[in-house]
Amino acid sequence: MEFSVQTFNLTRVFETKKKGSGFLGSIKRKKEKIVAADDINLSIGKGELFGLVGPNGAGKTTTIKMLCTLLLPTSGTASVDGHDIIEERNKIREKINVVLGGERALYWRLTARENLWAFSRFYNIPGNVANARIKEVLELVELADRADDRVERYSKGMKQRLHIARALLNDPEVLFLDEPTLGLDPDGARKVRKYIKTLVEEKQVTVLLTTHYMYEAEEMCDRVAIINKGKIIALDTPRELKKLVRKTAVLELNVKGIPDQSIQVLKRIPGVKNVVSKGIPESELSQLRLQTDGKGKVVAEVIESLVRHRVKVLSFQTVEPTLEDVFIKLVGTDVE
Amino acid sequence: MNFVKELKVFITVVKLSQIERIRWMTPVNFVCFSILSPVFWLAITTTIYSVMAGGPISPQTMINFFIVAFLADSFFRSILWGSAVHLYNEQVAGTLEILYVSPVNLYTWMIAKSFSGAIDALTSIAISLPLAYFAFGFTFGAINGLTAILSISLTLVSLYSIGFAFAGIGLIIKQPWAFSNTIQPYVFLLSCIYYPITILPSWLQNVSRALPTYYGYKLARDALLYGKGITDVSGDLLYLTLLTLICVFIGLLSFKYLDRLIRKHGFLSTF
Repeated sequence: MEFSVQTFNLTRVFETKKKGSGFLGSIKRKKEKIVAADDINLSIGKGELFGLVGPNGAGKTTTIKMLCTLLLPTSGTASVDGHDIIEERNKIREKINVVLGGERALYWRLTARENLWAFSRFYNIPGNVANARIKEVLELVELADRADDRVERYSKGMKQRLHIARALLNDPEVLFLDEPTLGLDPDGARKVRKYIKTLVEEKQVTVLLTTHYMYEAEEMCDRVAIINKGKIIALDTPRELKKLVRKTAVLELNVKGIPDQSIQVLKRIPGVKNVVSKGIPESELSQLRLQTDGKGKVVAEVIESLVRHRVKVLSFQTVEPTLEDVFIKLVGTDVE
Repeated sequence: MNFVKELKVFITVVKLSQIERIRWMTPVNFVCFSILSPVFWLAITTTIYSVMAGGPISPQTMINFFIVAFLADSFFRSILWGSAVHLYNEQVAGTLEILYVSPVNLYTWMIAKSFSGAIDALTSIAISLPLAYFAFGFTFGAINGLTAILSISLTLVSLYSIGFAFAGIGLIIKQPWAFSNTIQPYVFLLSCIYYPITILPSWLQNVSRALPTYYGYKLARDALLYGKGITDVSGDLLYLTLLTLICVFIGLLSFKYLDRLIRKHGFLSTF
C-alpha cells in the first residue's frame, strides 16, 4: 500500500512555566513539561480518509501542526507524500493544505473572491486557471452567490466553508482538517461533511481529519485513531473498533436533577462498567450513558437506584454501542 | 527563485493590503492619521527648529536641512516600523499559520507589506510638502535625481533586510511595538535627522557611520538640497552599498534562524 503520511515516533514536548508556591512564587517559576504528542506512529494510505479523535488537549492539533510543518517535533519525524517534515518543508507545502478551524484565518476585510485570489498567487496558480478554480471551489461550498461579499459579513458556517474552499484551491494531495465542524450548526456541519466526502470520493485526496465528535469520525472515516494524552490508544476501522465493545450493552437515560453521589452509586451496581453523564444544553436535564454487561437485572437495578435517590427518569433506551463507547471503555470517561 | 511568481505575489499583497486599508479607513481616520498628524508634527518640530536655529548658518538652510530628513524619516520609519509588526498582525488576525503553510516566499510577502506601508507614508509626505513650502519656505535645491534614487533605493534595501530580523523578533517577543519604540530613539539620535553629525562626540560619530540610515538621510539632503552628483558622494555611496550588503546578509540569516526558533517553540499560534 502506498502511504501519503507516515509518522515515526513523532513526539512533541512543550515547556511551560508554572507559578511556584510561597512569597516568591510569581518570580520563581517552575518549569513544567507537557507531552502533547507521545511516540506517535501512523501510516495513512493514499486517498484514505483518516480520523484522529480524542478530547480537547489530547494532541490532535499538535500532531496536525507538525505534519503541516508549522511546528518542529521534539523527537521522531514524519513524511508527507514522501517528503520529510523537517528537511523538506517547502516541497510539502506545495502539496498540502490545511483547515485549522475557527472563524479566523481569513482576511475579513476582503471578499471571499479576493481571499482566494491572494492564496492562488501564493500557490503560483496561473491567472486563468485560478479564476476557474475559484469559481469551482466557491460553487462546491455553495458560496458562489456571496463571492463578492466581505468575509466580515459572513456567518460562522460560511466562514468555515470558505476555509475549505481555500484549502482546495491548490488541488492538494494531502488535506489536513482540524475540527472542521467545530461550533457549526447541524446543517452547516452536515454540509461540511458532505464536501469532505465528495472530495475523497471524486479526487482521491488523502484527508487527515481531527474531531472530538465520535459520530463524525464513525460516519466519515475509513480508519480512526483514538488519541488521549498524546498517545494513540487504538487504531482501526470504526467497525473493528466497535468490536471492542460488542459484549457491552449501552443504556441511555434522560434524567432530571442527578447529583454526583448518585452517579457514584450507579457505578457500584454489579454489571455496570462505566457511567458518563453530560448536561443537555439549555435545560436542567442530563444524559446518562451506562455501559453494562447486559446480564441479569442490571437495567432494573439502575432505574431503582435513580428513583431511590429522587432522580426523575424521563426516558431510557438501550442503544447500539458506538465509537464513543469504545472511547469510554478505553479511557473511562467520554470524549467531551 | 521564480522572479515572475515573486512579482505577482508582491503586486497582489500590495494591492490587497491597500484595499484592506481603504476599507478600514473611515474619513475621520484618514483626516486624523494621514493629514493632521504628520502636518502637525512637521509644524511643531519645524517651529522649534526655526526658533532655535542661529549662528553662522541661516535659519532657512537649517529648516530645509531638517525638512528633507523629516520627510525621508517618515518614509524610512514606516518600513522599519511595519516590518516588526506585519507578521505579528497576521498572527493576531489568525492568518499567520495559513500563510506559513502556503509555499509563499515570506521575504517577498514581508517586502510587499512594508512597501504597502511606505505608500501610506508617501501620502503623508505629499500632504506635508505644501505646508513645508507655504509655511516654512521650504524648496528643494538643485535636485540630482540619480543620486537621490540610488541612495534612497540602497537605504530601502538595507531597511527591508533589517526588517526581516525585526519581523522574527516581533513574533518571539510578542510586543513588537515596544521593540520598535525602544529602537527608535537610538536610530533618531544616531542618524542625525535633526542635526549635523559634527554635533556628536567623535566616538559616537563612528557609531553613526555604521548605520545605513545616517547615509540615507545625508545622501537625501545632498541629492535634494545641494544637487550633488554620484561622483561627489561616491565615498558615502560606497559605504552605504557595503552596509546594505551587510544588512541583507544579517537580515536573511537572522530570519532563517528566528523562523526555525519560532517553529521549534511553537510561537506561531501563541500571542
